Amino acid sequence: METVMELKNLVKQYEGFRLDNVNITLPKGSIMGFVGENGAGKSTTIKLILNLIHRDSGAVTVFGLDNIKDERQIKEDIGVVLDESSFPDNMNAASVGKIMRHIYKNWDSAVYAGRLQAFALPPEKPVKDYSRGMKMKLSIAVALSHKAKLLILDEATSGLDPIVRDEILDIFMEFIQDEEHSIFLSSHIISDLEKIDDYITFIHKGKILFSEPKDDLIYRYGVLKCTAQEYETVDKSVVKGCRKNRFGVETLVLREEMPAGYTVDPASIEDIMLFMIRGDEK
Amino acid sequence: MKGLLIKDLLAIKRQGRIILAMLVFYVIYAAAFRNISMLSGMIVMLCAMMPITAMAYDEKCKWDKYALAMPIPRKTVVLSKYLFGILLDAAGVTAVIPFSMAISFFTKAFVLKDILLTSAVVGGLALVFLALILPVMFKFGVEKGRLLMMLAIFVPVALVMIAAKLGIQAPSEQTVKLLMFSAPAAVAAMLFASYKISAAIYAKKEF
Amino acid sequence: MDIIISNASEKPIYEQITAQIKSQILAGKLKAGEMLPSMRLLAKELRISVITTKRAYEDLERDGFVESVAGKGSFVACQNTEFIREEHLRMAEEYLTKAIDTAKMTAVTLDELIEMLTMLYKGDE
Repeated sequence: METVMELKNLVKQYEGFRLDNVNITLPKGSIMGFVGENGAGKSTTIKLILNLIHRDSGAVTVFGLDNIKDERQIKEDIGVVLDESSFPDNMNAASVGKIMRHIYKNWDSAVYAGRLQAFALPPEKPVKDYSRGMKMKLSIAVALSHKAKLLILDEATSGLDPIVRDEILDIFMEFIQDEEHSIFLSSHIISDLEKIDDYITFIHKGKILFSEPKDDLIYRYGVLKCTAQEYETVDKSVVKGCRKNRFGVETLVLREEMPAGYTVDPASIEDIMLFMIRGDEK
Repeated sequence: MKGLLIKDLLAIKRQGRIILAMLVFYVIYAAAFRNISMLSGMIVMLCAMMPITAMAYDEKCKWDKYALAMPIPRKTVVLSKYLFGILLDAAGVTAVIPFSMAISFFTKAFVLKDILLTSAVVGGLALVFLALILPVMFKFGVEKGRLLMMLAIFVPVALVMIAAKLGIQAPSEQTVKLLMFSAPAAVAAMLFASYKISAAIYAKKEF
Repeated sequence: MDIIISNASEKPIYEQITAQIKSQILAGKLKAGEMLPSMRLLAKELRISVITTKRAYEDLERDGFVESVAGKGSFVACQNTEFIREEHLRMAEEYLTKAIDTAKMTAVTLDELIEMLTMLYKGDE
């Protein structure tokens, strides 16, 4: 499997926070969800990929090229969507197109116009009159109009209503129809992306806790809900996280290892994350 | 580069209308009081300030972060602000000349040579000002930079006033003529040095 | 081709897809040589990950129901009757196991089950 992006032993030290030896491999043609709570290091990692901040050590390779030496070439083929709308207020979609034409070598005005229409973005309306969803769609329209092969999104869907999030999901799935295309998106809300992600990388306090195919994760783990008594009978080596309440126990367990007779519910990615971070009440 | 310049132009469009209004005002003022230096001075200064206005807009909507995620080298971002300043400065100077000539035609107040000289001097001074202030803006941002900008205007003016009070002679016409001829080279050198400093500052900046 | 997947089911999604495509092939709804939708298109329409559909197609190929031609796509393989029979037997065994598990939950005896099975089997005649 070809790799479109690779982060090796990436380190960035701030006062009070350290991005510690981040290793991520993104296979070509796939969607990777980069999840973690606020402050876990997602934006820092993405900024390091884009060279917006300077790394202390490690390497970043995109399309097989070094992200510093071949920065300009790489960025021609990356579509970026960040969490804030970055266009001056009194600009409109049409002027954004005029600007981008001179920035990206492969800018396609026809595709851009088509995207604006598909997203129902009036070309003459100033950005300051846009809703948050519209601002996001404009950024996405730009990202999709220069033949980008890799989409990098940083918290692009937070603050959007479910309808818009659903529309954006469709856009991603359309983008990934071409197996030369890949998507790397970070979010602290994963419920809607869970469905379409191929891989999930989970970062917590600057460290990668896991980076695996999503299917492996949801089929490997399960949630067992039982009484405190029953919990005592469970072999602790299959328990990966535990939360006790006054009326019972919820634990994250390894499905395969559970003996028959226990009812184990499917575990969502959110479950796995929560148990890993907060489930240490053994 | 072109894209960035277009963006800055579009961003300051609203300011552009204000400038046009001021242009009208100063034309009337200059005609009424037969004083051209105010006119040319203000117009050129306003135009030269535009890169800073553009930077303020950039800061407000966090444009730099987005721009640097695109295939735009950091040096180009810096250079575009200088080019923007130079272009608008030239535009300001060019705009002042026809108006001054029109006024002098009707009021017989000014001589062409004086008009051209005054415009060029002010144009050059505006560029010197930009050369001094842009690195400060890049380093500290527009908000904090504005305070230092006030100082940059205030200190030379104060020095000149103090010099006058102390009775220091204004330089002779010879000296002035010499300064005039070497000025373009000096201004260019200052701008170049300023650009180098700004580029170094911007290269290290983290977004 | 109809595929309905359930997120609430215990069965992994790729298994659900595999099972449904298999039964459609066995029922003759999907003919030999017919081209299946691409993995990516299926993933998009069902709103699931491409890896999941890839796994489903790989399993179908492994079990002999589907053939992949590089660069072209996946096609329904020609079936031989022996093979089909084996597959049907396997499915029947699965269903019977379910019936037995259910019966055991309320202590239904083996004889009661056999009686029910015979009745149902002959019921069509």
